[in-house]
Amino acid sequence: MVIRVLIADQERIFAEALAVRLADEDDMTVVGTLHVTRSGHLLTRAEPADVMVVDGDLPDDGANRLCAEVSGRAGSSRVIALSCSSEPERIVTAIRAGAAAWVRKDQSLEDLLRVIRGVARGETWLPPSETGNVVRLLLHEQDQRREHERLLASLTPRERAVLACLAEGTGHRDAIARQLGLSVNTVRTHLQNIMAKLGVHSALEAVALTRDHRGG
Amino acid sequence: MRLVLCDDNRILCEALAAVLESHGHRVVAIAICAADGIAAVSAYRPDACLLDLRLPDGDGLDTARTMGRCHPDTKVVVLSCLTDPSTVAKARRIGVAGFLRKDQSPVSIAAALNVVAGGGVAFDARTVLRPGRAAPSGHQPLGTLTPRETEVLRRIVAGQSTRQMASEMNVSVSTLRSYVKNILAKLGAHSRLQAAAIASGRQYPSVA
Repeated sequence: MVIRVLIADQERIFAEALAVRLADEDDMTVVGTLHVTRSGHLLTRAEPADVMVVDGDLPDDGANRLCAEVSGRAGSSRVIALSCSSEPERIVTAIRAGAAAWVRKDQSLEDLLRVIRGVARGETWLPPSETGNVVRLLLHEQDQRREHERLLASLTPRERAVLACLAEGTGHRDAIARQLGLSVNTVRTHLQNIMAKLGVHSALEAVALTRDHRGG
Repeated sequence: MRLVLCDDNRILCEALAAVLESHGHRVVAIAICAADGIAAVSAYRPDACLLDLRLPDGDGLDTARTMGRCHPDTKVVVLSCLTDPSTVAKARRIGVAGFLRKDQSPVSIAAALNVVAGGGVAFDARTVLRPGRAAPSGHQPLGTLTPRETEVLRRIVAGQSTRQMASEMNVSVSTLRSYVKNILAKLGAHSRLQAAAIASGRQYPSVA
């Protein structure tokens, strides 16, 4: 089977040199190179590919947006994020967006070839030095999410409605009261109870907690 | 031409080496940091060193200066995505034989190296004539945030307080407040809560 590879990078020279080099491999064919300078819908003009090698350092979170875009397509490509760095937090975000592998740009081309073949077979590749940290981080987040779920479950339906207003950006008690048809005093009480139950000190913190929950 | 490639992106070096070799050049060594680059130039005395300016262990221009001083026979050709006129001017003063942008094809790099091999200089016209490219202005207001502002916004979404952000980001509370002020202005938000809602896609920004 020939692996169809698409390369998207901010540096044109990198994308094109890599394309030339990959074309030397018998089992790979480069279906396109995208010289990306900004994020956005990049794939509208792209050929279907089995593996996408994406610049993990695109501005505006571009690589993760691209992963999300790819995973929404039929017969979706497997994404390899290539980056100058390998902070576990960034790797976790990429995995969450759907990336199948993370390779540092200071690894060798042989490494990259191995990873391309691996992900084409359905494997997942992370820098071995970071795998432990990545797994720990994911486990920690999962524990935290469970704890948040437990806290959120303790809210009454009314309190949840107030919290939903906060999450939509409505912060003023008056506005919340109007929206929910409650008195301002009642809203104040709800807010106090929400913060106490969730163990947080600000509306922002309360909303952040619901986001973690939804993220899971 | 015998070449040393020096760029912290090893994959780029290895891929580019393959292309340059197919165009008649010979890559004798690849280095991914300034110290290794200087050592490789000393060891191999190449005709030219293709040098990135952003290296993990040092400034590329200093590296170019060292190479030029210690090994005047090796021509230094900068290959960089930094192309603001002052960097190009500094590189010229150091005496580099070329300044090539990374947003061009590998084939044109090979051709520029041929010019250098023939005793010429290779300054990409755009690095000389055009002022540094302005950052592309995104259509979405989120795209217009600076990296620092983006970081603050991410922390706002995570529910952090001003004091917490200031201490973790190692800036003063008043600096942090001014970041927040800029973020709110750019997003057209009235409060951090609203900014957080916009950032997490729960509300559309009110500015175009």
